[in-house]
Amino acid sequence: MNVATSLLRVFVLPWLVIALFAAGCGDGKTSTTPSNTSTPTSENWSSVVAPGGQSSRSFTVNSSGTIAVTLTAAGATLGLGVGLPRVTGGGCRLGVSVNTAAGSSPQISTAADAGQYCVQVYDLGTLRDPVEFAMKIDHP
Amino acid sequence: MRFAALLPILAALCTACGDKTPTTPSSTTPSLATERFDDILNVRESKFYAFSVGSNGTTSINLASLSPIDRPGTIVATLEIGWGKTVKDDAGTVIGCTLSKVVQTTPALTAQITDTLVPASDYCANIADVDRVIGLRAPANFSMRITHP
Repeated sequence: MNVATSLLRVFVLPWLVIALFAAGCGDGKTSTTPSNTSTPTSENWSSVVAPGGQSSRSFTVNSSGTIAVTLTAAGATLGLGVGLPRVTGGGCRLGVSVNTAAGSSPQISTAADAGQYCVQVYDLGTLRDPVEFAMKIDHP
Repeated sequence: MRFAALLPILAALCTACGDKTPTTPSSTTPSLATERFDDILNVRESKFYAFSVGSNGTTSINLASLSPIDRPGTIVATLEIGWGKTVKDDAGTVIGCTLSKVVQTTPALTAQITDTLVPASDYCANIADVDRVIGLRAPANFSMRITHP
């Protein structure tokens, strides 16, 4: 009994203590998955569109998601579109467009990859005087 | 005495523990470049754009816009887009595009083609009006995005 106890103390207990310490190590090396989240952004824009004219504004989508554009105020039915900014000369190369009056829900809601985009408001050939408008652009 | 002998070992173990310093996630994703191919496409015409893929990775091609020449707005039409290998003359000038993949699509703001182009080399993106019924009725502005490593 005494021999067994001595053997336990000499050979087993030290390794048991070491094992317990060692077991506490290692969790600091857990790999983390890179996050790729983007805070939703809401932009408000108001301007004027002239007869025969167009007005555009660019914005950046930081990750894939949905672009939602709401023409919230306008004095007439207008053309509204979303597309890519022109490489030169300003303006917008539209990919999606609608003819719409102002409303409270998005007139355009479209999936988009990350990148540079623009929104454009344009006269449909009906304006006789400049018209003010306002819109909200929601995007990732 | 025996416990004293253990102390250096335990101290070493304690030193090894507790490294909670956050590690920056490693990233092996190659940097991507986005190129624009903007031009006018006539009825029944095709055009291509040469680009260079620098390393292995995903290339995406997006027909983003199709719009009238003479007024704002968009055109509803189905066109064929695709990618292939450039054809060069003896002087190394790109003179053509041998297509490897094509899809028929309408404009959208998300990529219509996503492929891994290997090896890293010179490639081309192509756009063509191929369908008399659902294609162009008149010349149109188009905008394509090519994102590649």
